[in-house]
Amino acid sequence: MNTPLRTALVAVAGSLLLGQSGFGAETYVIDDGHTSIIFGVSHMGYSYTYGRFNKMSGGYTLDREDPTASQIQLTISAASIDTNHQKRDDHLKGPDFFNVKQFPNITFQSTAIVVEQAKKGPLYNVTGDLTIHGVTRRVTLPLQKLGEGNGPAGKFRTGFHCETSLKRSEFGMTNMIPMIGDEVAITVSFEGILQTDTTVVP
Amino acid sequence: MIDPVGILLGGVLPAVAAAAAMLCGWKSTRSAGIAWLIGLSAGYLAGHWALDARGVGLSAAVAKSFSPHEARDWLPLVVISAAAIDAIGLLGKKSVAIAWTLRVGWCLWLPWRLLTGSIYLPSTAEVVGFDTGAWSTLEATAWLGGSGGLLALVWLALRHAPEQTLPRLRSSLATFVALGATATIALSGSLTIGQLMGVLTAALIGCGIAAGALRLESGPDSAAGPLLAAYGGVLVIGRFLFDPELPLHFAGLLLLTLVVAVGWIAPPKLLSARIHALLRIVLCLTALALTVIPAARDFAAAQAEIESNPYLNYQP
Repeated sequence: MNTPLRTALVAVAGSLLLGQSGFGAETYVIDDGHTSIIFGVSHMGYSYTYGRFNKMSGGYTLDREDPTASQIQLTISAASIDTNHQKRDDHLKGPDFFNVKQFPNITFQSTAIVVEQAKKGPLYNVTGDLTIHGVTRRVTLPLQKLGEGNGPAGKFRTGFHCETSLKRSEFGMTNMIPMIGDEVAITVSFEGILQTDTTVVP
Repeated sequence: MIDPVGILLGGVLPAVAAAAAMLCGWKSTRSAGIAWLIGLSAGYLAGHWALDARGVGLSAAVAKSFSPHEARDWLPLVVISAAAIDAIGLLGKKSVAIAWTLRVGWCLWLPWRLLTGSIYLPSTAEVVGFDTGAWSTLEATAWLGGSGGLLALVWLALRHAPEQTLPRLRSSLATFVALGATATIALSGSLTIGQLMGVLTAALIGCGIAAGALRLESGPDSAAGPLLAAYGGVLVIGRFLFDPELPLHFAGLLLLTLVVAVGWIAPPKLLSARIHALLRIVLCLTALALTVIPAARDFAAAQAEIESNPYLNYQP
């Protein structure tokens, strides 16, 4: 088991043992095969260049009785950046941008969750510590719960979607602004697989 | 992208600061060695901090050097410490042994310091995960010890340059080599790291002009510490943190080219001044050709690949 996944599981298991998530919390491991982390950034104001991160791992607890006690942790490999252009990817991995040899991971650890009912279903406003390029900032991500149910293999899963934006300069990535935009649009969509023996029927 | 303000702050300013500091150093001490030390260090620091000050202010840029976030943020302290060690060596005969002990310790410390927190040294990394490419203990010892040993040998070769022999030529060649290293790194794709080498180039130009105006009979070997700190520090960062864009053989060759330009290359008695000058020029040009030309070729190939994209400017 790779280290970020182990860290995620330990964090989730720890929070359960400590009772932070409540007795009824469900533990999920993020299914990287059904998770997309996409970003878009302006190129000279002429167009938007889109890219994705291909490697990530994480987990979350979902407390249905007390949703505010839920937690989420996500780790992304910065070196897995993919903009469909090898030379550009190498540049993005280097010291001018992500500096992946020094800051290999992008992480998010939730600290508080506020839930509101939206038209599409529960909206989890997840506040947490986002670390990019070695700089940690507190951000709030709007996680829209899209659906849940048993997957093809019978395991219960829940799925979320998040659209937000951030300024890369706030994370110490100031090179080539404004030629390459400061504001980065981010879309994250993920599914988690329930990690208990009991299959929950929705 | 390097803009006019970047050229002003990272090019013109360090050159002017280096020349002015060298002039002040010479006027106040009448020591060419101290003048070179002060001039080169001041020029590099001025350029580094000026570039970092954009958008955040000078005090924040200077403060960043004392609580570094990235490896490059350590370079000002690295330059200051190397200059201080060379200055200790100038205090008298008894201080020479102390200075050399410090130099060896500094050379072993530099690669470790710049790579601490990176994927290579997982015990010191804040977060480790996925495919880290971390070194084993043996590999870490070999890489860090080897890099430190090479830096120590380069410092030794720079300090044992034939003093008062071709100082202006060696100064010009040092500038030329730093310019070649700037081009190699920038063409490899890292503007940030290339820009720092550009700052050193500008500082060398300023010192060279001031040394020529003052008719100082000593070359950049007098500032071997800060010269190696800035040049070697940038190469260590470029090689390891910009892997694989700056290959090991490029970094190694660029380091040795500095010795060829400035340091000891052969017993002075064996070579006449003309042969000595010719040898340095030929070796520098050859070594730089072996790095700059392949880097330029790779850059051109990458550009051609973009332009040969059949979907570029596609019109149905």
